[in-house]
Amino acid sequence: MKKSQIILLLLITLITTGLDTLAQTKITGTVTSKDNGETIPGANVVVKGTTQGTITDMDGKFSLVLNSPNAVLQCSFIGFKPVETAVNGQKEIHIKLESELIAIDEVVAVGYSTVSKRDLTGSVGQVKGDVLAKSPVTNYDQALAGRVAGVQVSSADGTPGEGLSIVIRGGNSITGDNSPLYVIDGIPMENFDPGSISSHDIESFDVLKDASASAIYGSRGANGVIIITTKKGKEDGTTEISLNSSVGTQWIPTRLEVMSPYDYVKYLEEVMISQGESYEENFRTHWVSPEEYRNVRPINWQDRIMRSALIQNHNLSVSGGNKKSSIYLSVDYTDQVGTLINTGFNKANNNLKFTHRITDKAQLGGYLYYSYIYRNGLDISGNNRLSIIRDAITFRPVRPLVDDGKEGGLDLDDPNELRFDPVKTLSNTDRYKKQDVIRGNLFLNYDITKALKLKLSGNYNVDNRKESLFFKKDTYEGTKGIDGINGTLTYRHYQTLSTSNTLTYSKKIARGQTLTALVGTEAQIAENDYFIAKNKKMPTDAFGTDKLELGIEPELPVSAAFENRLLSFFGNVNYNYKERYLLTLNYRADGSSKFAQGNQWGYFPSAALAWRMIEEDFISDLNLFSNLKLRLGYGITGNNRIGDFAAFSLINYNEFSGYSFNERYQLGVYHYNLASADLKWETTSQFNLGIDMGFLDNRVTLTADFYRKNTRDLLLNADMALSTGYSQVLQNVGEVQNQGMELSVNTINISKRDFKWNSAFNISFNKNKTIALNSGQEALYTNPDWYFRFKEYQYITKIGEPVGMIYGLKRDGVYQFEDFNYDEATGKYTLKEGLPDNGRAVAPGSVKFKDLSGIDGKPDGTINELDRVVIGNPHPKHFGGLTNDFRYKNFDLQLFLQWSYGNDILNANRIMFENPGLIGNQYNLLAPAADRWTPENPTNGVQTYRFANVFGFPQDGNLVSDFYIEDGSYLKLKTVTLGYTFSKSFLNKAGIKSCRLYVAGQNLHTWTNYSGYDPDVSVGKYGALTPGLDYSAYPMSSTFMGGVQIKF
Amino acid sequence: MKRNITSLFKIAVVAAVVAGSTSCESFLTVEPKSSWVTEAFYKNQDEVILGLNGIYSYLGQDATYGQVMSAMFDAGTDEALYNRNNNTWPLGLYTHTPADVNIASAWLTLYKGIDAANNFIERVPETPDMDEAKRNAYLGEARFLRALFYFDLARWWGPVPLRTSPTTNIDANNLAAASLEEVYELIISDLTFAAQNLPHAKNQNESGHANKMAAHGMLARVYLTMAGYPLQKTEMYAKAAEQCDIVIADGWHRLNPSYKQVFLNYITNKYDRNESMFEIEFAMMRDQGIREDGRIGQINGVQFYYYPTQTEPFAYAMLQASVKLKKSYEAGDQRASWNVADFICNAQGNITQIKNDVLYWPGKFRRWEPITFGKIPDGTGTYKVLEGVSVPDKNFTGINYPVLRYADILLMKAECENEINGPANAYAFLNQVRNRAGLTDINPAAVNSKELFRKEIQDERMREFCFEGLRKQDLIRWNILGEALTGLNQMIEASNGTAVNKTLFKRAGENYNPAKHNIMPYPLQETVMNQKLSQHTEWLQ
Repeated sequence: MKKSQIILLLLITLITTGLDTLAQTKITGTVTSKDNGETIPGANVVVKGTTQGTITDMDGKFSLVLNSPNAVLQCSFIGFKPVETAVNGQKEIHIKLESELIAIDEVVAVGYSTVSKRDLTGSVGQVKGDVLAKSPVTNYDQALAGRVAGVQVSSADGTPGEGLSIVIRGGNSITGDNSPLYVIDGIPMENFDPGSISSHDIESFDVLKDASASAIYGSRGANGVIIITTKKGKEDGTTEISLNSSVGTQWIPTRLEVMSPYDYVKYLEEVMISQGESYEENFRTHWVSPEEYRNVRPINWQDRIMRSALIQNHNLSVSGGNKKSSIYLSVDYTDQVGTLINTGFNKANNNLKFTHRITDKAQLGGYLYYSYIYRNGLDISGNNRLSIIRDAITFRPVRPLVDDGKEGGLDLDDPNELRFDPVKTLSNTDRYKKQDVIRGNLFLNYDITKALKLKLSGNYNVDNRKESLFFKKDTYEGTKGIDGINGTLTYRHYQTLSTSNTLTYSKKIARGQTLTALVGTEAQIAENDYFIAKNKKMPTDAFGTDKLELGIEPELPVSAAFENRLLSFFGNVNYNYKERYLLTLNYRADGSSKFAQGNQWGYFPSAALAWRMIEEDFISDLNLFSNLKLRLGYGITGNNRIGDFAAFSLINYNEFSGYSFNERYQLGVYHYNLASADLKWETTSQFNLGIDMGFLDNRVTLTADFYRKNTRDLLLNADMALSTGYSQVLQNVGEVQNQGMELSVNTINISKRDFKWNSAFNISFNKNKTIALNSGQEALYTNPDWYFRFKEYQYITKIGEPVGMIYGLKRDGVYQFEDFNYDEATGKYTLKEGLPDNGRAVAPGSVKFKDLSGIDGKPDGTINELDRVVIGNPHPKHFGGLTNDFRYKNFDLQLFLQWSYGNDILNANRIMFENPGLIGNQYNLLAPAADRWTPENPTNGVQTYRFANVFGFPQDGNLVSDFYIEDGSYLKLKTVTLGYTFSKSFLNKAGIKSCRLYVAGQNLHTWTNYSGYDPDVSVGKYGALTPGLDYSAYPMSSTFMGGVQIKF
Repeated sequence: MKRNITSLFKIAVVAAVVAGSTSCESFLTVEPKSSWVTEAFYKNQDEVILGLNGIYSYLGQDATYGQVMSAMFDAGTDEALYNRNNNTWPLGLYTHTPADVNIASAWLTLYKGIDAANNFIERVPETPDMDEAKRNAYLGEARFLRALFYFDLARWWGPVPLRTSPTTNIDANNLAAASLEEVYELIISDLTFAAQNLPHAKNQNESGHANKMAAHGMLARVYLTMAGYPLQKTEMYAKAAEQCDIVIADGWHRLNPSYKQVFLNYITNKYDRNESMFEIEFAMMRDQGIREDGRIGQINGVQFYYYPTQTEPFAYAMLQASVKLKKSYEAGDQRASWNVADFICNAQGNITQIKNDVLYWPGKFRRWEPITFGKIPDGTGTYKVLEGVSVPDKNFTGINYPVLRYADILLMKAECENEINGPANAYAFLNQVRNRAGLTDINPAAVNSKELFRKEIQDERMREFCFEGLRKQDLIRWNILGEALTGLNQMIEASNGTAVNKTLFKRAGENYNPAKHNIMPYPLQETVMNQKLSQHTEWLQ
């Protein structure tokens, strides 16, 4: 921070020297509101064409000294339309500002250019940077959910600083990547880390949703495009220094309810008695009786691993300059201590952006962006063998009266015991990732003529990552694992060199006709490589991965390198006839090294028409609309997210492909990839129909869009006949359809001088459907592999249904006594004729399923994979957000609600922790297991632990059933911000332009019926194939922060 | 200005045309950096060896002889039974379906081996600058391995798609099953080529490679299999005998004097090429990140559940040796105590002796042996590690696994001789195996008919080859799998095991269905994606 302060001072000095004025004429004036005549303090008054200006005082008055009596004054204030007033020799000027209701003339970025909203033909959503910056979050993407219709933002879990999943208008790909393309200040980026930018630097955030808009990004545009435009230096001769500091706390608001000490000991008693006399004796010795634990305070293991944690963000930016040169500098520091111990996130974003006008025609500019990002405690949910959530839930909640020395009930001598003290696991496992992200850009704008403009730019983007995973001694790995104390270091390097060049022609070609045409070319070389080293059985854990050579069992180091190139030519035409009829045509040709020769080039056209019906007399005469526009668009876009060398048949070496002869290991190779020779882009064609409406002087605006997109030639890891020697090969097969509707409504409910109330509402409906898979294939089955022991398929992607449906058995309660014939002589329970078993021996109390099918399609009296059906739909029926902004005098309040409705969650935590005896006899369980089946409690809920020598839980392979499917609908009070802005007159004396104090909360409350930590969860490993899975996820946190925003 | 624009456009157009025509193509060409391109492989001897080793690697995968085919496929016979209360080895309990993951992984891995061999066999003839004899020897190894893979496919799955050229594109999915005869025809042709072109083991520098006599021996096993169920081409007994005779006449391969030593050699990675004609090589290199290990002795060994220092020879031991196997040995048979282990080490480190008939362990590939019974923590229980590694891995071992032993040549010869001519000239071969086990010659009077001698051979093969992955296929080719399981269940019922144990171990026999369990179902993914292959009719009901 020190260094940057010095630089800052230097910059301020540089910019402010040389600004001198010559005094000639003094004028005074007032600025008032045209609507109600009240004076406006704090309005900007600038002499046109100069850098000279001032701000009105408390009474809306100003004074200026002018060089010329014929100067023109420009006056502006937030919420009002800017006005120009000629002085014409007057000494006193009264300026009236007209309030701006809905900024219909706002510009939006549409790829290589910007258009005003009124001229927009496609479907583009926008969020302003200051909206994102208002949310108390560490990365901007956490503030995005619910802000833009059609943009579904969901978390995997609550891991600090982890990127969110953003899917625009439903997923196109089944096995491919559904994340959008990012364009940061004009530079397309395929792997953009949300941590590598400060929310405070974002000017606007535009989402190109339909193909007519995104086709200009061709082979990378199918998943939609997110254009982030960052702030730049001011050009009005003033300098603004902005400081934004906030500090707060986060906490995990929920706990999973586990069995109480009494219920646990009662359960334990049942377990021990069923195991035999010596166990029962052991139980009586240590535990005595459940009654002893009636009112004992439980040990809450979840509380031990969770904490309230500090979160802070500090941002300082300087923006200044004049018509000739401008500069924007920002430094940002964010530190988020994780709500699970030994986890956290911090980052430093540094941004320097400049422009400099060389001549009237030529302008040079660029930026240098450097971010340091540190994430600690990754993959809490990722490793399915060692789960700290599992350990926190299953550790026993109470110690026995006569202590047995087992902390939490952990038996370290048991070789099948995979658990470990979760506090120690977290404290002694170092999983971190350090990233240095550098982006550099240099551009030249050259106005060949007034109408013809050339823009050349070169860009460099590098992302260096160091990933460390170290298990200290006091972890499961360190004490019980076969590798002992061990560490793995991974270095990854990504770099992209690219150039983007456009030539724009813009002219009024005839009366009422405007033509803008653009041609451009881009080239990109993207390289990445990695290096992994691992060493094991270290004698000490003193140095972590900083001294890997201490281990005595090094593994073979691993390295690999990749490269791909992209070359593009594109063009765009916008034609505007009498502000009434608008036409946009896009065309892009992309050539990619990822595909074999002959298939390298893909062509992506789009067209859109808009009719501004409000300009037609028959509409304006209705006096109903203040805006009415119809938009119609169609386009073709692509998705090229595949491995760099997927189009080659390849031979490789891996750890399994060698063989030893005579006890001497020899390298061997294997067929690593089968090329499908004609591999090409995944192609999405999208049709969009939109309508924009404004009522009551645009106090109410409404935008609705209907779309249908079909993605063909999916880049699918398609199943092969195994006898080919390949299980899956990447192919262009299959088709997915998404269709839906989006609605956004913005209203200005109250607009008084002292009280303003605006609302913004959006809702999205999307229907996803699998149209085709590989030929002959009806369905793709997926095992999300959340626990190594459970190998059953739990998801299905079936023709005619949405991608990634939850798949399993239908639960039929629990077997009851009346389901059996009892033989008193042998003490055996035999199922009554016609009743199916559950896949293994059953008795009263065993879990019961519906026998739906057998090998010949008829129920066969037993339960196996043939009885599985779709049991849950993880796709929401609709989702959206509602924002209410209030401003009362100097106070501002924002309430933001966000929801998702109708999506199911596979709560795998319950499979593991609500299933008596399944994973460990003496493990504590979730609270519902206290109400399990016993002869005295013949429930149809949770099955018995064991009855008549038969375990109640199902065999492996029959674990997933609709019993564990829950409604994941939720409504979240996502963001609440309350601010107070000091009045200008008070601040002006201190040389402060503005000052706002605020408090803000994030994720403050969630209304849901979901029984897990948080319904905004999806930890499935296989993207679109395994959505809505909750197992051992990092619980979501709530945040409360207070801060100050000062501008100088 | 207008002229400026015009010239600028001209430049742009020229640049675009030039870029489009020539430099685009070279700009967009990026060769793979960390892999070989398949089409450019096999261009020198180094690459030939890399490719060949790659084919061998499929023998040592978990899905083949590392665990699935060596241990799982062996469960549910009259010698070995799955011992867990759960159903994670449905194959061993006859509750499997076409969706079984282990069936799919074994099938896939065998075909991966076949595809690797097909690539090799197609491309290596074009490798420049190679000595022809050497080239043919390499090709002989590849064809030996391909025959092995197809033989495993044919005997477990019956008629299977016969792929003899590499899979080169995604349209290769649809291929009907060849008849069993056609599959065997390829196996025989491959093994015959191998027998002609492979060097004799005595002339090989390295152990572990396919060799001439192993090819003859495998031919014998193939013919013998064809002679039995389901093909029942009894004329093949003579051909099998002929191949056995070649090996016997050659005289270099012979029995190790000690039965126990044969397996100690596998356990300690010592190579006794005289007896062990072909074996799967495993090596414990997991510590270096190389996976050439298997689960032999860990998954099908003697249970050892004590693991406080991570250096113990841990063994899950998912299989129990059957009461039938235990009782099949006559007094003095040295194989009894080696093959059926009567000790266990529990989680508390208590080494105890087993008295319960149904709870003995497969001892053949044991990782450890007790020295004294008692508790390890208090020093009364002591044991020794048999594996030839400094520190045993918890879950994986480097223990080798036999494919073909000389003892099998002898017993195959005896069986063929009996089937062709009756027992008179078969005793001698059986006796060699008996004598090595410390037994006297068999009393000819007790087995003096073809049927009695056949019964003797059936039992003798179990006594000799138990846990070597041959039993289920032997029972199937004799068509007595069901009978054997029924007999076993009667013995279990009559044993001194507890009621719970009896229930546990009778599952295989109770679930076995002769209508479908003599053949594996094709994996579900295969029948879905290969539209010319329909499921075995047995598995459609």
